[in-house]
Amino acid sequence: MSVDLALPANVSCPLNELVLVDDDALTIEIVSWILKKGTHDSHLFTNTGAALSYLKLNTPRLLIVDFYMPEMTGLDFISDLYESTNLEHTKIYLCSAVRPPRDSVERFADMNVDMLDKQLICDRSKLTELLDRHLAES
Amino acid sequence: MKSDSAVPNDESQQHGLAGVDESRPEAGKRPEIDRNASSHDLRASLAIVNGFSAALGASFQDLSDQYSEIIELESDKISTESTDRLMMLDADCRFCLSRLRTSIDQLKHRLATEHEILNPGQLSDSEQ
Repeated sequence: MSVDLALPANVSCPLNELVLVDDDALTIEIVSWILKKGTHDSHLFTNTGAALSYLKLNTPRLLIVDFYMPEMTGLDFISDLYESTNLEHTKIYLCSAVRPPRDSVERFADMNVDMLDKQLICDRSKLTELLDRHLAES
Repeated sequence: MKSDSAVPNDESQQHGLAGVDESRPEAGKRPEIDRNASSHDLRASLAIVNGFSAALGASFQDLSDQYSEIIELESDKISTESTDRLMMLDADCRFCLSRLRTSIDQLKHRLATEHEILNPGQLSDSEQ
């Protein structure tokens, strides 16, 4: 998948927000419900193409990407993004309910990417704690 | 907070799994990823069910507390803010209950898919 965008990403000042990419609409809905109770800014995507377009123009402080998506894996998504965007100031998590295949684990071990259990982002207190840790109050 | 246009609205969610994309890449092309994806979907559904269940519990507790607070007040001392909050919490409970039902339907669907992968050709318990 390629998305051609002329404008460079804003790498010097990452947006104080969460970007979540997950093909599962119910996951997006529960995270959306949790975020509605808090004060943090966010953009949530079920579509990888739309997410890539957004992320090539905007650099968030926190990026969570589902590993298993039908169009591309989360790792392929992040690899694609790495080629066109400076993610130096972005904390990136790959989210999965199971451990990804070994070759994938080796790939993201070389990048600034940590794993996150799917259970965590569906839990209000744990997700809020994660957001508070990575995002300043907006 | 903003969501992209692919997120189903309330109307689509009233019809079972409408808006929930269950499609996966063609089987056999990425066997390990496909197998893990099925397992992932199943566990993800459990996480979502747990999440909405906890959210419903918390919302109902808040609703109950707010209701108790209001009924102890004399009618002329009940503020608009209190009743607005009561209605908001009621809406939260309805939303969580609706999504809990949808996520349980999704879990049942994914359990049947997992059963088909593990036992090709056999009917799952829910289909017999």
